[in-house]
Amino acid sequence: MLLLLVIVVVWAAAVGSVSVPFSQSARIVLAKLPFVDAEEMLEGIPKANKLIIWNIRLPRVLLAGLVGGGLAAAGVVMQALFRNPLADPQVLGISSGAAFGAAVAIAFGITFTVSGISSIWLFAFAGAMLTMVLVFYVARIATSRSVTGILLAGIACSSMLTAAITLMMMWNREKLEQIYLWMLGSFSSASWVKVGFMSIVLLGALLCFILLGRDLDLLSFGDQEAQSMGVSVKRTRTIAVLSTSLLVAAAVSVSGIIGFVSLIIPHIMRMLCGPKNRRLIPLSLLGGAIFMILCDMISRTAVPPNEIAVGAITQVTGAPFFLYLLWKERRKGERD
Amino acid sequence: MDTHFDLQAKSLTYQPFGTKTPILSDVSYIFEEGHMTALLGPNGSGKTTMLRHFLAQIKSPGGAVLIGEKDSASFPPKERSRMLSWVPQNSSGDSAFTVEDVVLMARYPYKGTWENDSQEDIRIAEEAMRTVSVIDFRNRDFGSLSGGERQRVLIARALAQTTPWILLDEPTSNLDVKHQLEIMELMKKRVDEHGLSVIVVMHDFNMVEKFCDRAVLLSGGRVVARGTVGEVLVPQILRDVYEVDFDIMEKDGKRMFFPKSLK
Repeated sequence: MLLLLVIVVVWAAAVGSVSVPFSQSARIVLAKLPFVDAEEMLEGIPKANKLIIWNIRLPRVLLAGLVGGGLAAAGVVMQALFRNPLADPQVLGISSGAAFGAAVAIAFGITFTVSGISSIWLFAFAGAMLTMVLVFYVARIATSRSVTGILLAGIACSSMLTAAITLMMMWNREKLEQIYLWMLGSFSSASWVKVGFMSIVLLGALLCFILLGRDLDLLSFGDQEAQSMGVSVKRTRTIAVLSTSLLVAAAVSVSGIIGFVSLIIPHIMRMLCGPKNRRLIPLSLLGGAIFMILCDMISRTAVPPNEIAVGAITQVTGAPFFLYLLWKERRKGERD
Repeated sequence: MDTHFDLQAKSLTYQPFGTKTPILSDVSYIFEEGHMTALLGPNGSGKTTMLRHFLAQIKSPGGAVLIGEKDSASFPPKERSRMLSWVPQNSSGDSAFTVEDVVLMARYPYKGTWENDSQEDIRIAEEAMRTVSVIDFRNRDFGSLSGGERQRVLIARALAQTTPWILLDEPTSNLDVKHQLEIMELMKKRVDEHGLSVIVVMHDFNMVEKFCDRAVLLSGGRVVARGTVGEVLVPQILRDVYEVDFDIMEKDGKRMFFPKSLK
């Protein structure tokens, strides 16, 4: 699967409005690896192609992969934590927080860029983090931090923020389109800085997830049974929610709101490899990355020179496949 | 670690927030190690709530539950779960984990964060599955099992946790007669030969008479009788607590209880 991911990355980099042969794309990527003679590798490749691949396409493809993988892994953890197959990182209100931040930046015309970091990105991330703090605070005073409490606080905060975004869009009609497009999600503003940022967050979160894998398995039997088998339920839940929130905040802030990946990829992977979280999380990460890169590729290339919002692609391709899997699963159930 | 210790409830009083009557009021009792103690009482008399105190799932203001000399709540969860295992009345797990996965989960308190299941863990799990005869469906999904099969898997899981104490909450409620006897005989044997200690919540007096040697009877959140099974299962007490008259017959030195009529 890792191999498949690498092939997809190189292939997706090769495909675009300027077509670059797969072999050239592969050689450009290989040339950057240590112990490889770059001169020899890059021989005969036009400079323009090198620029397109390395500076434009590759960061975009990698960012799509990181975001897709991150969202899928976060989805696995959310589903385990809430013991609900429909749980999704969006219910924590983080996406709405990021959208709110981005909307504020766009609506009030706060646009600057410092060393590759744009104000919209910063505001989106800040919005997501503030929402996370708010949700936790509300959940703690209102409901003593039970799972349902966090869920309800997330939904409440989320709908308040969505209302605020709608108001902002009404008052700034000339910016309406820009805000709306941001919310639909896109990787067109990808850069190496974003790739670096996303990689660090993803690595950190992944470490937490793998660490908690076994605890999450036991938690599928409910808090009380898990505790009777030795799980520190509160600690596990806190670490899981915090690391997922951070990961989702980072992902949404660099790409906008891209739905469905966090819901569908974990389900597909669970059907393929079983429910053990230690295996499910890394596999969902790879699956999410591949899926997102392909969706982004379609969004770039389907109707050139325009782009289709990648969020729309994930839904359009994901939903029927999901229905197919459910249908297959039911057939299997009837046979048994 | 010392595997010989009593479980002690010290004036437990538990009243959930916003309710009028307490579930437990001033309950004290020492469960002695090396015995199979029946925890008896009508529905809603506080039996499960009492067990949940030992598992530190709930705390009682002013009261305490002691594992040996120490407060149950003061143990880290992993350490406590190496001393007590719990078979719940019904499991909320409706999962795609296989039976073997579920039983292996009991080895969690013995594992470091990065450790995988060892040969030893698998051997212990297999033995537990064989003991309660669920080994034949070790590869089936836990979610696809019937109520009785699930109950046996949960008992296998408790056995695989290899604790000196097992707390059973109506372990035989979903089982057919053969499996009821199988489970109870297994527990009795472990108590007699391996020094296991058991608390069992039960409604079947004949089973209690046959397998248990101590009993404590709760009613309305209070202890109304305690002692040997012979001292607790007395017609007058049963009549007061359960509002049912019992006929008692004796056969082979064991008494048999027949509910005769409502009081």
